[in-house]
Amino acid sequence: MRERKNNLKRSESIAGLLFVTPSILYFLVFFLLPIAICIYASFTNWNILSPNRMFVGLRNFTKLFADPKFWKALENTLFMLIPVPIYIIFALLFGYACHKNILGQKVFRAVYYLPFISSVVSLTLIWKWLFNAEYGLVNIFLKGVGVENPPNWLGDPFWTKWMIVLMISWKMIGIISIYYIAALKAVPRTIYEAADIDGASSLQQFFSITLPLITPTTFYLLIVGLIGSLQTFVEIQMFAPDGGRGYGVATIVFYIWQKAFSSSQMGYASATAVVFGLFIFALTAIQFIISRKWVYGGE
Amino acid sequence: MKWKTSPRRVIIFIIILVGAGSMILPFLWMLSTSLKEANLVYTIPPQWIPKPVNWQNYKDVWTASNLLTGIKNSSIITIFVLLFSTFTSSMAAFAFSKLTFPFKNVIFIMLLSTMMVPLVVLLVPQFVIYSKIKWIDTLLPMIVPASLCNINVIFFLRQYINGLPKELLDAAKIDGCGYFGAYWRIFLPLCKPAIVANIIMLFMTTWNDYFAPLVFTHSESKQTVQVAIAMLNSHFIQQTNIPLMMAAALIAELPVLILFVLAQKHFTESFAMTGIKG
Amino acid sequence: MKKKVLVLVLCLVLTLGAVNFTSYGAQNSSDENVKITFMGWGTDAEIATYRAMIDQFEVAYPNVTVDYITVADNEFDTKLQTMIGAGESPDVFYCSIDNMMKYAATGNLYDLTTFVENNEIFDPNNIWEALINRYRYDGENQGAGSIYALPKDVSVFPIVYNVDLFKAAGITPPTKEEPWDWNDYLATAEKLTSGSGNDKIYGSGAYSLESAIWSNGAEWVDQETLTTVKIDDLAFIEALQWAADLSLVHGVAPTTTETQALNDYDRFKQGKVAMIGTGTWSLGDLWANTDFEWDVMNWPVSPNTGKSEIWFGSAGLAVSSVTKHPEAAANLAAYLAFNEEAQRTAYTNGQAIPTLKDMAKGEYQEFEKAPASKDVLIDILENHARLATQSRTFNQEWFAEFNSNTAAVFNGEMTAEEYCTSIKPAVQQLLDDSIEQKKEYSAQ
Repeated sequence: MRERKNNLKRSESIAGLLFVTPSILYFLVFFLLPIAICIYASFTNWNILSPNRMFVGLRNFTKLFADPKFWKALENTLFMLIPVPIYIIFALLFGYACHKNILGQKVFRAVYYLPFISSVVSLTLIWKWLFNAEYGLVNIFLKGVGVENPPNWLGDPFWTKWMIVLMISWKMIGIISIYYIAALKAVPRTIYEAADIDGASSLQQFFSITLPLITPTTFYLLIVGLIGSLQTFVEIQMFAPDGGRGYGVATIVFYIWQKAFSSSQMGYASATAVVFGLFIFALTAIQFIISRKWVYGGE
Repeated sequence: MKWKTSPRRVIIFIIILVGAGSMILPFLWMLSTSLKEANLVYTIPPQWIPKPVNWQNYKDVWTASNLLTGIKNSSIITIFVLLFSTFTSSMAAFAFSKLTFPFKNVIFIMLLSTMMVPLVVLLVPQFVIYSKIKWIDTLLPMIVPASLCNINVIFFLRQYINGLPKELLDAAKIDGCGYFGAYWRIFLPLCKPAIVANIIMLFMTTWNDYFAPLVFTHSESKQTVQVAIAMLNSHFIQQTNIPLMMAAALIAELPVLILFVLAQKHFTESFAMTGIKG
Repeated sequence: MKKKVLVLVLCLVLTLGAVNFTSYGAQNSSDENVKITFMGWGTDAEIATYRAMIDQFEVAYPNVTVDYITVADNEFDTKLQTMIGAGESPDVFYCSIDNMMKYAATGNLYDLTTFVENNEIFDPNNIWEALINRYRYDGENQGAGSIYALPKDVSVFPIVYNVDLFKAAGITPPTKEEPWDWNDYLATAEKLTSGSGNDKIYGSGAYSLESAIWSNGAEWVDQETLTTVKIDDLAFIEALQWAADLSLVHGVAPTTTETQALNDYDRFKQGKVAMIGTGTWSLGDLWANTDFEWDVMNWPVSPNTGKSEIWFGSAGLAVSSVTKHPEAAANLAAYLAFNEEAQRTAYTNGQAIPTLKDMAKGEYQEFEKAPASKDVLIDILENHARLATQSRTFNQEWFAEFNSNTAAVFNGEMTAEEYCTSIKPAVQQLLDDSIEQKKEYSAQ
């Protein structure tokens, strides 16, 4: 009997491991190995055009920290965090309205998902045209309502960045609201009923019951949103192929891409990637620490 | 359901209506622009309904760009990824949810950790690996890694399978199914709604992927649909043809759009079923 | 090594028997069929031209098949580097002068010196002086040493003007004997500027900074050593400010915002700007997409110096150092660069000026398509054009840095003086980096 149980256990172990073998393979070959190579390369002067490379110690890192463009790109990267709270708030609002069964919610939901299912490439093409300084709908509208000098969206880095913020927020509201709709459904009705008896207004209920109870969802979205936003690249490459005036639009990922594949400095790009990886990791860790203060823990 | 009306609800409704307008307007404008003659786009005030309606762009775009090859390649990639990834990921999700095996949690956390590392860190070394194994300028870099594992899908399906009773596994074993049989005959069919939702997501991310094909392919015959459209953007720096670009972008949108319309119900339902509790 | 010997032997045989290229090609047809890849960039017109030239080549060399890859020009260099990095370099590729040193220093270009020396592929007297030594590099400097590419073309950057608008305003263009100076140019642009809204017509597009600055006797970088940035010279600042003031003060050129919305070139094609600077590579596109008469003229002289300067451009045809078929690849490069038939195809399709002098000065002058004043192009090339400074440094990041920020002057946020003083350290730093990079790459 006991042996049979052991046998069963062993075969279950084998089956389990077999089932996750592709995942492990992925992890080792396409994740761990690249990270190891990246770390190794960050200490070399390797350039893409030449097979020879040598160790240069920390030179890539010291050069990186001395490069004003790196700091500019870091600043721009942090700027790209702005959409996260914006779309979270609007998605919550929209999700809440859908949850409360607003008129025509099915149609609304389909329409709100539209930007998200579109590719970034298509979206940037449309936006480039919408925000054309003279012939774009946006500026024609702004002129129509009396703005004399509407922004040169694509020529002025300050406005380009805000345009990207707007675009990312616009794109994300729909999909993020799905998470909230699901989370709102999971809040037990009984709690509201109790609150009704206590005479709490619906606004009070929202802030003191709903909001705290869905904090795990909010936290998850913040983490994922943060990691995603810090990696903004395609928008930059499409809107400002040279990084914008004074490198005013370039993000770190753009910087890395440019160094690796335009300036051929693979070693240097790897060093940047290592630094940036650590940076994201640290930010995420901090979020987890802070989360203990505000994320609802138990049911 | 009854519709309640209160001033607050009306205001919210209007806000959402305006929001919906802003969501759809750019796409209508894209459609309108794609039906214009090249020079007509530079008129103020703009025309919403082009005069004349010019379908020529939808003909020209096939010769002016590499769209057809792009669609072909993207389709190949997407089909392979959908098939394999759904299989491998659901299998892994099943194992993580219902089986006990050594290092289960360690492996799961390892996989989750891949979500934390920015893709760009991997870009340069992946490029090196692919060039060593002669994968550069093939479709393999877009197919193979994505087919082996998709941590989002694993995570999502694991949650879903967690909600299915463990007794199903025991029953399957009594019926003489092996572990694979239990997965294949019992759990996989039960996961159908969740898998449909994931297929839409996977289709979308694979079809819309731009970064990987941009870096890992270079010849025209290997371009994906997104790269082909992006090329229009740079090719036309000296000869801007905005309506043509809009037509191309719109054509590339269609497959995702159609799939989404067809399967929208599953898409939202599955999210609602699993919930996201991190 | 083996391949080099093969080439040598082949070349020897050929020089003995071959006088002109076509017969050389015929004799070259070894039995082995080879396939080579060729990567280039270009407008639709250029791509069509090269397809035609390649077809001709394949007829002349029946055993060689060419796989022609095209990439957008602004992505070309990135793509080429990636391909080289992956060990999949195309056999023959465009190599701009700007990047030649970088690719040569890292050992990615096939040394064509022997090929050129052993073949009478061109007559040095019949090629523009400006081109002959452009693609030589000795590990230190351009212009001497081994040959790493053959010139695919030569192009100049004249002012193209709308003849219809000129006639309507009663303006006579300048001539070689009586050039305009900046003041004449401005006065003309003022006359040509008219209308508003959809009917707005500007006299001038953005003025070539190279022309303004060089003509005014200034330089980005000292020409002797190419090590010191000189953008805060008075003459430099004055020229930059003058170019910016065309729009800022005089309103005869589109503002930066307007340029962003619709660039000068497209604006010109729509008849909404009368004079723009553009390269001769656009001729084919202008033939196809304009419905008015246009012609070319030289850049005005600076009133301070009385001279006019502008750059000429050229891209090379390089052969990969790892190609499996060096002789076929070199033959393709030579054919596209110098073959009479190919050069004829090029100019009749609107691709710049023939690389062969006698053709450019002879039959090209008789060619019926615009511009009417083809002699202006020759005059610019022979008397007013030089290689741009950034083409002579190892990389161009310093120049890109300068350029990517000039909008601040053109939209009036800064004066030219403020701008040049403030950006100088960054530009100098990048130039130093470029010099250092050259040392490092060459050492590897």
